[in-house]
Amino acid sequence: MTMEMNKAPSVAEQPAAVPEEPRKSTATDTLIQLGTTAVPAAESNIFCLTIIGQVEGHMMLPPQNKTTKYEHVIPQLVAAEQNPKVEGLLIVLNTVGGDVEAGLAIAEMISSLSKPKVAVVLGGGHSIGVPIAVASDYTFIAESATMTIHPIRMNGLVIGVPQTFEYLDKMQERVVRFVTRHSGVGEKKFKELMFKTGELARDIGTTVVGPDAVSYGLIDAIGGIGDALRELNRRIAQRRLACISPQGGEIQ
Amino acid sequence: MTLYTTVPLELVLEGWSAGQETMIEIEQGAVRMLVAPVAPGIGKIVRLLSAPLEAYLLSSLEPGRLICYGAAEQRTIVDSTPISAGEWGL
Repeated sequence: MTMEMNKAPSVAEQPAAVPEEPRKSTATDTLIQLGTTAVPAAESNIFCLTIIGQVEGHMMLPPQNKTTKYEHVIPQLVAAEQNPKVEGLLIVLNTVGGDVEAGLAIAEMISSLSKPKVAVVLGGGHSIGVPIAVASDYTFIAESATMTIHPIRMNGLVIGVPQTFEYLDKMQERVVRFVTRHSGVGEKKFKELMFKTGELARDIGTTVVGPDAVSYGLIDAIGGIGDALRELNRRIAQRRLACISPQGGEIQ
Repeated sequence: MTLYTTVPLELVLEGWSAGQETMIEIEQGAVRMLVAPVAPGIGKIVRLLSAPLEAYLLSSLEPGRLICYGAAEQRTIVDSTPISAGEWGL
């Protein structure tokens, strides 16, 4: 009995040894498969631009703000337009708004690119995010995403009330004109959403949720990254075809 | 500057008068950039001042990225004055 008790644990303590496969060196694998030890980085033909947090303009915002810096985005867009490896742009938005000048500059830049560009609004595309969202060729919005449309405001000391009001009105008109020119929403409807009372606690305006944004014609369709990439690849293929046969004729 | 945002202005501009972090201008190859030091020899990229166009497509040179500049040539200390002081011309 004592011997049996002594034997039992010794069997449990020594599990059957699993034969280990000899480990191959990763470098050797790469050398065999690719002919070089360096793994080539997979290059994408799509440039992804993310617009997050506050769109930062002429002033640096305090560090608690997450910002998208327009002085970096603008040359990025120029580089994407000029680089032959980039065939299309995917713009991902989750922004709370920001500087009017910077936002409109980015929106104008996006709309003037000759390469296909598709945008997706995830989370939110508020205030100045609205013109940036509609600047692309085709825009998707996630079902749960929202866009807040409200008037432009200013705080602080005002000298010359009529002039300041007129200035703000002009700034607002720039946003309205850009959005109505680049989306299916009409000026009347957009202004109605902008000046609606009773919906926002701190302001006048409207919070437009994904499906509503599509029904107003502000955004083209409900969708996410998969839909956006599919649409972008379709447009890239279309552009390639157009480049091969510019008049739609046969290649000579 | 007109801010068009859903975030209350008092939250966006909180800490505005506390001043800006110290920044230094460094040059690495063809790229000249403004960096905010976070540790000796390491800085956070604030913005690129002059760079070849392709550099703007590199995620490693995006604002907010950390960069080692120990070996790089350090140019000048750009500014350490608080924003409020600069704004009022003090």
